[in-house]
Amino acid sequence: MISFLAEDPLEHVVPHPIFGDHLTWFTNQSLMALLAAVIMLLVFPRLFRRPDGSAPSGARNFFESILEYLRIEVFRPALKENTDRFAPFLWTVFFFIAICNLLGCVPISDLVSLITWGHVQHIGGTATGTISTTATLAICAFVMIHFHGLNAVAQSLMDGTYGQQGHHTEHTSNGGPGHEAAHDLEHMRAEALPADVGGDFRALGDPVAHYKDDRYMGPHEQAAMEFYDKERQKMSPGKAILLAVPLYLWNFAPHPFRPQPGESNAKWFMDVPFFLFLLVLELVGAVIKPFALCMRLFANMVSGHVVLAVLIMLTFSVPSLLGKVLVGAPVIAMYVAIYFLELFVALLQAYIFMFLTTLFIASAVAPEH
Amino acid sequence: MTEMMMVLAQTVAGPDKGLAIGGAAIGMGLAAIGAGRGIGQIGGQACEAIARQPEAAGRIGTNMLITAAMVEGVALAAVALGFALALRI
Repeated sequence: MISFLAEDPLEHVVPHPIFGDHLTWFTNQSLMALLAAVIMLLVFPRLFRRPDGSAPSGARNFFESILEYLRIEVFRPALKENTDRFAPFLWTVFFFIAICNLLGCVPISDLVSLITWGHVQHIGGTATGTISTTATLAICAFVMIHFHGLNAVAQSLMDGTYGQQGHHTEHTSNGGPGHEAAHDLEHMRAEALPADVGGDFRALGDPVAHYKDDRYMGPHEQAAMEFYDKERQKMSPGKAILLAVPLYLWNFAPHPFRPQPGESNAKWFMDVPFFLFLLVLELVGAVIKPFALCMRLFANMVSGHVVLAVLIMLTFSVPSLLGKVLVGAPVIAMYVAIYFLELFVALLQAYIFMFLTTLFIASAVAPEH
Repeated sequence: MTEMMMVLAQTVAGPDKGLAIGGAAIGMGLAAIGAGRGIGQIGGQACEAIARQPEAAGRIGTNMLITAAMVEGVALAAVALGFALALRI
């Protein structure tokens, strides 16, 4: 029994290989990550296999409310048209991180070692408490962001719409800015819906159909649009992919002082140094943002458990038994309070990771002005 | 002040280990100061905003929590890196 208490409490935070000297990379935290994946694979396909029109109940209701809240309140305002492309990935990220964090809060290793009387130790832990897991998640987010950003640029090059992102704003009869709000078909499609509509909005029919017979486009504008559509240069896929990489990197930064079509070209002298500076900053930021995602999740998960371990160490560092009891009573109250905070932080960090990944994907893929 | 630190650092095992742990402790303390100030400011301005417009309390509270989690992430990253540097992991 004494051997239970003599162990270093920090051992609960550090990874331990399960199979001893064989497979040293497979730690108790890897086992928890596998367990989280198995839980997700058991829960979600069973609950959501049949597309069900009736009102959901029970577990299906619980998960569906979370999923739909995330889709409507978090993904759709940021991603607009591309919500359905990225929703599965972002949902998976959220639930994987949330389940991993919550499994770390359940004292599985302590219960198992109590039941087996100390023979099986350190079988549970926080999967996201290793830098490996969080770095892998950050790498997945990085690949998702930049692959789809490059994809968007390459697609627009192949369709010939590079530079306008679907807007024909330059073609009005007198060269003015045009009625962009009325012509903004792409954005209208995403924002013309009431907030509580779930599912694929294409299934509702075309909500912007009455904008297509546009009274603001007279015959001059129509002719200009047709001329422009014929003149669009579509590129071959190979050339588009080769050009997409430098163009995507070049487009990271905005031009702060870019001269408008009417102004003098001397403004470029002011624009170029600021633009290059912003470009370097944005390129560095593109690497640092996923790194920050990784470190934020890792540090939040580890620090909670470390604080709890230090509290236990504090209790047991008092020499006498009476001292241990006297110090232990308020320590237990603080332990419980910090445990509740840790549960909250577990869910909050999963939400933050997913929310920031959504914002980064949106800024890489969606058209920006 | 620095001589006292040097003497204290060398009383722990080895000439470098004490300095490493002392440096990490100072760094973590500074990170705690930064986090406390930042999150306190976020909370204070959120309370002011709610006082101005009580019907927006839900949205303001959500934004406050998200921003506080991000500031805390930076501070905890500093703590984790200090930990790693002190223990040479």
